Amino acid sequence: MIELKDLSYVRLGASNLEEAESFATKCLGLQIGEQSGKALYLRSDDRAHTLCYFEGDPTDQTVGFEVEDESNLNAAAATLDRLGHPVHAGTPTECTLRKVNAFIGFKDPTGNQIELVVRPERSGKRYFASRDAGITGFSHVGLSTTNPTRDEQFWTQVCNARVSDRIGDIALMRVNAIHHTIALAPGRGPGIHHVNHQVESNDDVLRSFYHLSGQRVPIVFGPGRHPTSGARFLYFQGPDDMVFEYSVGVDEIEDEETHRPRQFGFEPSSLCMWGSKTARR
Amino acid sequence: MVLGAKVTDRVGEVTYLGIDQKHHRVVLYPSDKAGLVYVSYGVESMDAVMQNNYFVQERQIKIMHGPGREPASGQIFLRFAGPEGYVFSYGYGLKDIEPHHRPRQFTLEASSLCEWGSECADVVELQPAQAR
Repeated sequence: MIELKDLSYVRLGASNLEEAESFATKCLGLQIGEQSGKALYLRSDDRAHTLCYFEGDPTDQTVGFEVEDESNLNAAAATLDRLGHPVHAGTPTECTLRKVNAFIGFKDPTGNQIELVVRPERSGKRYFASRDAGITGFSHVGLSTTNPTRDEQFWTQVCNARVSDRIGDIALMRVNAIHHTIALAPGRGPGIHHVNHQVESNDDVLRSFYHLSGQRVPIVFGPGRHPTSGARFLYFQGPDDMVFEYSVGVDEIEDEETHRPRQFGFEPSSLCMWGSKTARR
Repeated sequence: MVLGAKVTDRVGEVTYLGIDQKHHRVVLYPSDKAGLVYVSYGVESMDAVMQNNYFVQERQIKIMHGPGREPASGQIFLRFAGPEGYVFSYGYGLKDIEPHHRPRQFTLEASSLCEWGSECADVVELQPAQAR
């Protein structure tokens, strides 16, 4: 079994790197860790980067997960290879671009680009936000799925993810105590559905609602509260239509051994207990 | 003096008055007429304020101010239009006053009436720019 330890980063192709920088610093509130002509490394916590925008195709989207060490990485490569997923071993140049010691790349059954990494870099400098968004860190991703049941099996049987709750057929899955690290979202093809950052308080969620509305950033869902995780949330749209989420107060699963996933109906009140409706999707 | 209320905080000349342990029970808003600016009802949680926010929106009831949060009192509020020009409000999280509290003076600006950033569209008493 492939033991995922944590989320590491997302890599997003940007059709306009300047626009991505402006959004990331003035709206989202991340800190620029490093910048070259072709790539922008953004920080949200004590990691050297958790989001990289690179000049390229906006449909080129990748999620990186950390595994324990190089032997686990090799074992994961062998497992994926045996299951028929083509595996790419990262070259030294590619590792430098990701600020990791080693990595492999593959696609999940829907075709989402996934990377497993070893020794992702942390920074000694503390994260200092470019705007007062209250971000405490990069926390989870929504991944598109063309077949929720098949993909749930992949993440829970080939990898170590556990289902925390389901909304209809959609699984919210954890790899540690946090309610979910991977949320599957039905889609027509591969891609990242949303990128979540945690913020400090309810106040931060509502302040950002008014701040982003004033910046004419499209709000796509919320402010609201998920009945599944208990988190208060706000979803909004960034460059190349990527959706970002702020949330606060996500539950931890305290009874790892005995927790049983709850089934929520596939209806709006399962996504928001306050009554907000999604503006798209 | 006559009724025994105490000033707890001010935003410009907007004056919060307390008569018990709560931050305020009456707020005086400078105005050119006598009358109620709004009537506020306590609700049991932030969830209830936000559920009401979407509830009144769905019924096309006009929201006058909020959802927001008063920096002076800590109260989360939603103010909306009722019949005959009355404004009603739901509130949650009104703080108690500390024993040695001294009235604070907040700058007369929108962020002193709502720290989240909501602005009031139609009630002149709740618009700092108009009140100046």
